Amino acid sequence: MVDKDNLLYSRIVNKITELMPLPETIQKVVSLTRNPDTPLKKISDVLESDEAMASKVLKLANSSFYGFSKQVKTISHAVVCLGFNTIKQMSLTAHSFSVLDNTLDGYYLDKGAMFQHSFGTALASRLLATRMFYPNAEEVYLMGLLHDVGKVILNQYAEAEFKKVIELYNQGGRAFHEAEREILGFDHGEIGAAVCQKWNLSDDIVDTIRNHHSPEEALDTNLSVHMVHIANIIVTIMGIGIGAGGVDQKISEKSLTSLRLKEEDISMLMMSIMDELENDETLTSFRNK
Amino acid sequence: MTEIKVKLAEMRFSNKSDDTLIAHGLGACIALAIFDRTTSLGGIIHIVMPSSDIQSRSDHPIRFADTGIPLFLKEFMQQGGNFAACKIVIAGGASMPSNSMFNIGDQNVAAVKKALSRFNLSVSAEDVGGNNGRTLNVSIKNGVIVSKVFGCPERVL
Repeated sequence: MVDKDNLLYSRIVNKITELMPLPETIQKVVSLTRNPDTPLKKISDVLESDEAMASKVLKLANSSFYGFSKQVKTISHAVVCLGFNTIKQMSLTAHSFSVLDNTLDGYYLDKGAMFQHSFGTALASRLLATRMFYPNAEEVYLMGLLHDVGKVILNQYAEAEFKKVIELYNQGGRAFHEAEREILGFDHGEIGAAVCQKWNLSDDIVDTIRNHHSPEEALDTNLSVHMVHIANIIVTIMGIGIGAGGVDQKISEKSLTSLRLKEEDISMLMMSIMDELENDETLTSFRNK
Repeated sequence: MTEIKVKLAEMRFSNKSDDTLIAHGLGACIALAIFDRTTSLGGIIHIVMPSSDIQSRSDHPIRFADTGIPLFLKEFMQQGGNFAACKIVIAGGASMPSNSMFNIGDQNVAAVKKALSRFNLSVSAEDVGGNNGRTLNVSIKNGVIVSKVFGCPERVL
């Protein structure tokens, strides 16, 4: 937990709405989907009023993961076919892609590497969710996409402090998030969790983003944190978007046990991640360049 | 200068003096670079895993050391490369010391060397192991092969 007197943390959290706002359309969708009695038409109307967002949601609905034999051409059709929880995740996913794609290069972060790493972790998290027959694989995908969003904010808003973190990390002997905790008093997971709270996302998302490097500290009922923890590690080992960072991370035994993973599963997962990276059309359709 | 990126499970060659071949973000993966000083032909293969045993179909031979290296060497020869005048270096193979389940880096290093030995070849220099991410590049102009870890000086191999 972050010390309540940590001024840097308070300063950053107070700035989140300004630094990383959630567009009005998505705010409305998130709020409407909280009530299970909301008529589907109401959600379609909100999305259709935002042409750019509607087209992004349709792109995701037509991606191979959902496997529709015919093209989904309208938002109302997508809402009926996929249900409003999936539509909510898709709107958030589309927005997260644009947040990551608009990241600025900084001392530590390379925009392209950040995007690749987040996207790879999203795919790997969803693979683990599907493997566990987890009911909400799209939500786990979104968690994978957003797991390092706190780094984007730190890189932009606390660059001087972040530079010290990197200097300490480069001395070796500690994982990146441990260097963050030593210098800042909190890690990027805490900032990412604060972003998700401001966006009114589910408790599971907030808990997973906060604890993706320390899954033992997450809620006992939260299985998704183990998926994102392991997905992040496998994608890092593969060197996908590691950019400036190294591969030194603590692997949680609890996560390996919770996901019932054995040594041979790791190699198979690496192959599946490569297959998905080669075949997934989302990356090319969502990136500006 | 043209930068030619060699991504995961890819191999690339060039003999144009303006080109630099580059493999970014090597974690446990291995980039094997070859350069023939007589023809100025250089190449990099970006290997991900040690053995193709785990994938029954051989759709992606370049992913694995045991199937990728023979293909890479064959292509090098077909493009006019001469093994007697070449140097071979490797970089990557980082490992996570905290759990042996994830020690793919060490296995990759061993598998790449084993695959080379089948052709009576060996590496003349290497920058492998540890837990750092690396970048390897080959300058075709002068055959200089450099490995780089973030925050550390470049290392000529």
